[in-house]
Amino acid sequence: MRGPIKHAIVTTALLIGTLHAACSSGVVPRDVPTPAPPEPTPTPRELVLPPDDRSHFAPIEWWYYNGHLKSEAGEEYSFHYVIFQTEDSDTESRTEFGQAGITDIQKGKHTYISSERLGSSRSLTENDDNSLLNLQLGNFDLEIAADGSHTFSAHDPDGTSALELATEIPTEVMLHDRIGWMDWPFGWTYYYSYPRMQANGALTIDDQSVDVKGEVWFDHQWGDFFVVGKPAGWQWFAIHLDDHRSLMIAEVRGVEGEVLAIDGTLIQSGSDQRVLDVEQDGIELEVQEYWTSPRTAGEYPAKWRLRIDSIDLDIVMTPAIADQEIPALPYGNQAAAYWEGRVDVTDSSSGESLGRGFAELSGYVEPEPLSWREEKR
Amino acid sequence: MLAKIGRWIYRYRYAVVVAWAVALAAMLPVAPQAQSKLLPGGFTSENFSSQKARDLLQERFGVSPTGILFIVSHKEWNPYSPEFVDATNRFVAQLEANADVETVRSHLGEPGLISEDGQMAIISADLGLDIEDSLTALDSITEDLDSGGLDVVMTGAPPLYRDIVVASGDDLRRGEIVAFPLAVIALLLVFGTIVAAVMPAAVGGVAVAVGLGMVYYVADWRDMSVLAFNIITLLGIGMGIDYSLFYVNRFKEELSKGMSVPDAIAETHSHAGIAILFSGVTSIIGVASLLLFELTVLDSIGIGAVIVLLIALLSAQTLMPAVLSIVGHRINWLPVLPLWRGGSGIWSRMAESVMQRPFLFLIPTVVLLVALAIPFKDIRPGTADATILPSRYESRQGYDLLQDEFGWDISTELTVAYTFEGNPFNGENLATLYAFGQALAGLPSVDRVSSIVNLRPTLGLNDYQTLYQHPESVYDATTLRLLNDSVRDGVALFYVTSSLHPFSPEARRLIDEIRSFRLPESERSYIDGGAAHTNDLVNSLYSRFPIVAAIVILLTFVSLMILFRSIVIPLKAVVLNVLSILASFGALVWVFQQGHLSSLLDFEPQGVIDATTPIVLFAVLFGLSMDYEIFLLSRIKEAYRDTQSNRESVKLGLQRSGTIITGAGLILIVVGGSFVLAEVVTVKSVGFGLALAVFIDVTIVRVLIAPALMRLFGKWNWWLPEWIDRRLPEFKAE
Repeated sequence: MRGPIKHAIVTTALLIGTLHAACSSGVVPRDVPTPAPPEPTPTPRELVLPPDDRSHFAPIEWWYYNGHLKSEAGEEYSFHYVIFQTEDSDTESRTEFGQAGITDIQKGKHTYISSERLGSSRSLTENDDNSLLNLQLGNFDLEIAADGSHTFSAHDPDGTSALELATEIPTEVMLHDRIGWMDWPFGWTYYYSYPRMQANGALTIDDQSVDVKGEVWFDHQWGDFFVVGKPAGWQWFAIHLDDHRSLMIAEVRGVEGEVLAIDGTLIQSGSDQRVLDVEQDGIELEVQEYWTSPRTAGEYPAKWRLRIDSIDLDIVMTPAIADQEIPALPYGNQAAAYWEGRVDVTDSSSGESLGRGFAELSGYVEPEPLSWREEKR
Repeated sequence: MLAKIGRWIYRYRYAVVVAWAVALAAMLPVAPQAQSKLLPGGFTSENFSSQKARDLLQERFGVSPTGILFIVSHKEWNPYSPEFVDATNRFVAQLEANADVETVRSHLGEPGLISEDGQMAIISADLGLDIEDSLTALDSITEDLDSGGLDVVMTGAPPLYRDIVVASGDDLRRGEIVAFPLAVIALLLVFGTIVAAVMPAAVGGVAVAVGLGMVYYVADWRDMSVLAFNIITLLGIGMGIDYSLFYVNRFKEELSKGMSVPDAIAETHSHAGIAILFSGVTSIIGVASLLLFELTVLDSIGIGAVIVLLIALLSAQTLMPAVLSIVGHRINWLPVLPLWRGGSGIWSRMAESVMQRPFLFLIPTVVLLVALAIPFKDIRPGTADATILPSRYESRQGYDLLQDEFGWDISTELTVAYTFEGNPFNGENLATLYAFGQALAGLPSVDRVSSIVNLRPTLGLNDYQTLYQHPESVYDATTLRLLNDSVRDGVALFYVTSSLHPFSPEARRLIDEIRSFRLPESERSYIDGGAAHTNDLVNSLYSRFPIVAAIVILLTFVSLMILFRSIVIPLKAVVLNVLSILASFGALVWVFQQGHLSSLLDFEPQGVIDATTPIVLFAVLFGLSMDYEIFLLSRIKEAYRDTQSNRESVKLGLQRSGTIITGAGLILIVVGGSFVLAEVVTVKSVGFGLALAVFIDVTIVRVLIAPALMRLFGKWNWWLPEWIDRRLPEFKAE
């Protein structure tokens, strides 16, 4: 090849190479860095009540009520009512939904009401002049007034069942694990209760409405944690003893079904709350019977013996009726069904009635495989 | 040889015209249908990494590539009122009944689909079709939908894309309507007679009709993008008129010397014919460069333009001489305007003035062009978003509603598919995924990463390994959705969100950063999302652009060297051509990217230049601008051969070609300028770039810089080493 042409070709090639390099991205390949340690759990703050009754827009939050009510004729009813608020971290949107159950003790009947629709942040008005929380989900409404009184209702869409209650301002506060904050599996949670709020209102069962009044237990929990089902889960009890002691006991299981912790909080009328520890206080929770749900095949504990040596308590808890299972929402994990119902509390030796309570049993229904694993099967 | 061909055509003029008439008759019925056979889209390639990601998502996760959004509202009903719910359910049922619709979601299942004021809702239909097919299916999905009394505004990628195509087509048609009468006026100004003025338009029209007919058949065996249609038409008409204009002008000139018609044809063919031939070849080189990009839309423009230019060239070389042979002296019939031929030597006097003080003209003009070109260094090639569409279009109204009423951000949303071997929940894979997820979250421009291992910043690898011992037991709705939708054996998805505009260069940089992570041998990452596609598009185009441009420049240089038997002339021609194109690109950036004159030109600045615009403009303009250079230089060369005087030849060359080049340029400036009135910003910018480049070329470059350089180079203008001369093929006019 002749010199000048060769020179021209080389020059052109160099020019092209330079242009090409100038147009390329110039990003240098690099290794995936070693992950930094996860962020530490935030330091809890002191709760301020009732202002902290409001929504905290946490990844998960719930407002929960149970209670034992009587009509003027002396008929007994129990109920639970809960509104969950969750955050979708993908869309940063929040969703609320409600569930309620009414147990007619006389008829041995349990009625379930679910919110008609998912709420969203638009369902919630907060911090206006008159209320700390105002949630409206169509057939589920909840308002917590600035003075700390609560009003809540649930209506079955077909109108045959309803619950409408208003509470007085709470007089007792139960801050769990001393300050109302606890480490949970995969996260943390604020958690406090108003164990005895006086309430009155009306219940409608099978189109029959009845005025009622009684005592209500309120739980408020929010934080950043994961609720995991079977074999993980929990057994939780809110007990009103006739001697005016209020007791919360919770047993939490880990992902392999192992018991991670048994905690408790006790309020004795006229004295400070007491945190109960499984070792120091000698807590023993023994399941004595099981009940299998015909709908979910979940096998739930159905009778317990609870001993707490430090407070000289030895009781048996028996469900008022067996089937007080709450189904999971149609969308979501069907294993999230749980048992939430009234239990009668008796002395383990004498069988004498000592009070009543509510049990919540989570993580007893076998989960479905993930959709893509099911397809693979 | 060309003179002989000219005489041969004269002899068989009727046969040639009949042959063209037959070709026209054959193609005329199908030419108008060419557009209907062209496919929408064409902006992606199966070789793009983002396309591979999309295929992976579709295959492994059943992710629909496209979706339509219906924003529904009612004056009296709110989204949860029974009437609204009933209408929504019926609307959803109609969509679900369509085979092309895979899933339908509404506010009844997802409260996030309600507007911020609670008065509107979104019904979303995911289609199992890619964007091209979704455009075809759009009408069948939507035309008979009964909204049940709801007000519906439809948006989403398919409607937006379709409206952009429709709006662009409308713009181009409107532009043509404005441009055509102005082009006729320009032709009348140049020729002064109706017959002469009609001739180029008629021959150009025949070339376009036959060319489009051929495109119709080409579309049978390969995908052709509909977006190429208007550019092919525009180019065909422009070049057809250019060639014919030059030919007719020369013919008239030869007749005016007293030549007979056959002699005038032979003489015209031997001079104008060869100039047109080389001009056509350089134009074809330019547009053929589009075939070197692996993108259907550019391929389509390239193939269509090559076909139309070949036909235009062929018609100028055969049909035009045949018609002129028949028309003969009647070319001067029907005079309507006095002949304007640049006055008595106005071009010549201009050339003389420039050549007397070459540096006085050269330095300021070159400085001006360089100054115009400077903003080009800041070009941000990207993809325009829906705001290029006028707000009167429904899909744009929907797009605005999503932002205004539903709070949707314009942000970069990427899906990164990470492939590995085996079960995603085993400890080792979770460790790899966790590290990758943390690396993504650690990138400075990333706001959020969502994946099964990016649930909470407080969770570490051990937590995830514990949590996923029984992944099906997780109750949390978001996590459960991620577990079901974002992971399979061998692949996990990371949803990455950044506040960057998805089509911005910064978002492209983010894509590069993600792709720069060095992964183990058996693992890969693929990125899907608008920004990833834009990144692939821009990288694909602009990694090749310098090479393609260099090839075009080199081939053009060689062609001109063959024609002009010179090294300096071709070098000057390509350098000036590049300079004028760079100047127009710089102005394009200054106006359309940086937003100067946006209120005057009535558009919303995009902050980017559509990535394909400079490529297409380069391909079109390089040949187009070279036309004028060839027309001018061929006249100068002729004059130099006659006079052997550099200065005299420049004066004569400019004098003889000045009016015709100005006329041709004026037509293209008018055509390009008319598109500046377009509503779609992309069309507006193409028109602006075209008009400005031609304006620069026919004024500054040809009248001022070219004569100044010719004067300075003097005798070196026509220098060609003998050893090169021997090796170059020779085209002798006579």
